[in-house]
Amino acid sequence: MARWRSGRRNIDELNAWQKADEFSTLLHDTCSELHVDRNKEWLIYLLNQAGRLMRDALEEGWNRTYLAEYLLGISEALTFVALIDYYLVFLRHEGYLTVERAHEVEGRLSDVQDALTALAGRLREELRASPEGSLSSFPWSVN
Amino acid sequence: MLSKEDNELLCRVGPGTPMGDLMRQYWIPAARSDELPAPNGPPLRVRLLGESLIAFRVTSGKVGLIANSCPHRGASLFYGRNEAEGLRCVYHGWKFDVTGACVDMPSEPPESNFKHKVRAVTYPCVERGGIIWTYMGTRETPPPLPDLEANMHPECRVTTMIRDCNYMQALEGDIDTVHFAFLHMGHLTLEDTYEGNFLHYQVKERAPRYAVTDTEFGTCYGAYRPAEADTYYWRFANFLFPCYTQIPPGTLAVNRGFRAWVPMDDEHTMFFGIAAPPAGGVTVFPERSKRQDVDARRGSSQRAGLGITEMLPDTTDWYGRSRPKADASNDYLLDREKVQRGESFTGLPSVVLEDQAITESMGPIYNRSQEHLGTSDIMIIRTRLRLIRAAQALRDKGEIPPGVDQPEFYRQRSGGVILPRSVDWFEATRDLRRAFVEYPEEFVLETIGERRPT
Repeated sequence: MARWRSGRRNIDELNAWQKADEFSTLLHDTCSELHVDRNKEWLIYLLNQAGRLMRDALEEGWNRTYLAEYLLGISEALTFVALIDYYLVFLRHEGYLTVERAHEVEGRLSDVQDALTALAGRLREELRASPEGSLSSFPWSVN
Repeated sequence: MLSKEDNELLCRVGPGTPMGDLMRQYWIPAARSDELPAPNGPPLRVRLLGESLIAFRVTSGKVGLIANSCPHRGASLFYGRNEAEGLRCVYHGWKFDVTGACVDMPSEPPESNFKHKVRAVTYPCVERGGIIWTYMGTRETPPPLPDLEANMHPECRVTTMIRDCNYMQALEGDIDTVHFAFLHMGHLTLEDTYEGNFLHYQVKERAPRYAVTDTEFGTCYGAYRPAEADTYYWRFANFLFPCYTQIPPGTLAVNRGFRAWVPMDDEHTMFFGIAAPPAGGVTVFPERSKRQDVDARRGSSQRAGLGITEMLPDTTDWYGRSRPKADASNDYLLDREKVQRGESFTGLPSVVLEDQAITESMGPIYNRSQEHLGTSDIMIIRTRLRLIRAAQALRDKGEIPPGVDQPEFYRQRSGGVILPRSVDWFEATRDLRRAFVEYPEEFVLETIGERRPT
């Protein structure tokens, strides 16, 4: 099994995590600046939560037992990226975000997405290449 | 939450709308083959993508789909005479074949060539696996039919049911995995489940975690919960362009079915459920409950929530086909005593009708500018984005949407599987999610954490 805990670096040394962490802070700051109607306050809460969960999913995956679970953490983080993307589009359409601010935030989100996607790709390669990788570690691999 | 503009873009499917144009890129199910049982039989009213059409089976067995209004004076061709390879308007006798050619115009002088100048709007049809498929797009040579496994199986079974709401809110119910543990199974406790089966894990942890990804065919999610100490229970489901779903109940290694949410118009949808026997003939029930088994022994599948939905006789009305007896007018035969007795979370007669009632209760076209989607709604979010962006790309850049020319994209399966925590959820299930593959029974049982008793 691809256990991998020992000898690892701290997660905050990882480029993808740094980007996610910085984005989470940027998102928080952006949300703090927004003046939304009272009936849209939940949206600010949700965006902040998604930013936090994106970062936490990475960290949680990093701290799990298997390499595959780290990959799963990245998949979950990418899922939160999609949620943030969806609501940023809405806020821009509705005029809550200025075009400049939207470009900045969406650009940084895109950077995070690219970094996570690239990282997931590299991990998948590692898992495929490893003799203890996913397919060979299957208890029920067939053919 | 969607802006009003995006909601309109997502939901409107009539001619000339972005989503309507997207839908028209694909073959779509128009009707069941058995709705036109005999050559020269009665024509059938069909609403499809906001158009009123008449389906008819001609003498040779071919199926035609023609615009309702006769191109002469606009009379409805539903009243037409289906005779000798064509449908004849009863008003002045003009007759059209399945290609829309006017083959007889007895009201004009015999020497007139006028009939060769007139064409009716028709759409090509083909039949496969009990479905009449039609292509409503502009290509002279339509794209290939999608390789949907169940529909290509010799024992394909097709059921239909009308839903009085927009296609998208109906479809979204299929990709909203959390509702299963509440709407359909909220009344169950751990004591009602068999330890170690899928239902047990669902009841134990009703809020799963997700990984969602865009795919070449649409979107796919895996929802996972802890199973045993070193395993997860995964539920995989798919959205496939433009209006298909594959739902997560059952076993990933053997599920062949898919579902089509075909827009009749903006406010009505025809559901097509397409099923085939499990791959390899391996029948397993990883989601059965103790109550279902008790009810099955008593011969009462209806109480178990899986019963056959009672249907009204079809009428010739545009919305008169495949209508369930339970509908909004009778509160879907709600029985609150069943809730009191702990037999159901809702009191509604079946799983199918629970979905029907809830999605119709959202209104004909759900106003998504008022909703509050949370983190567990991510598959819905991603699927909307995928559809909206594909429709925009088609409108703005003429980009052909996914799968139109790639029938092989549709060779997919959905369902549940137990995975070791040490494996990559997506790669490890690549083969299991692939259609047209059969596995030995022992292997299938291992994928759901079971062994046949010896």
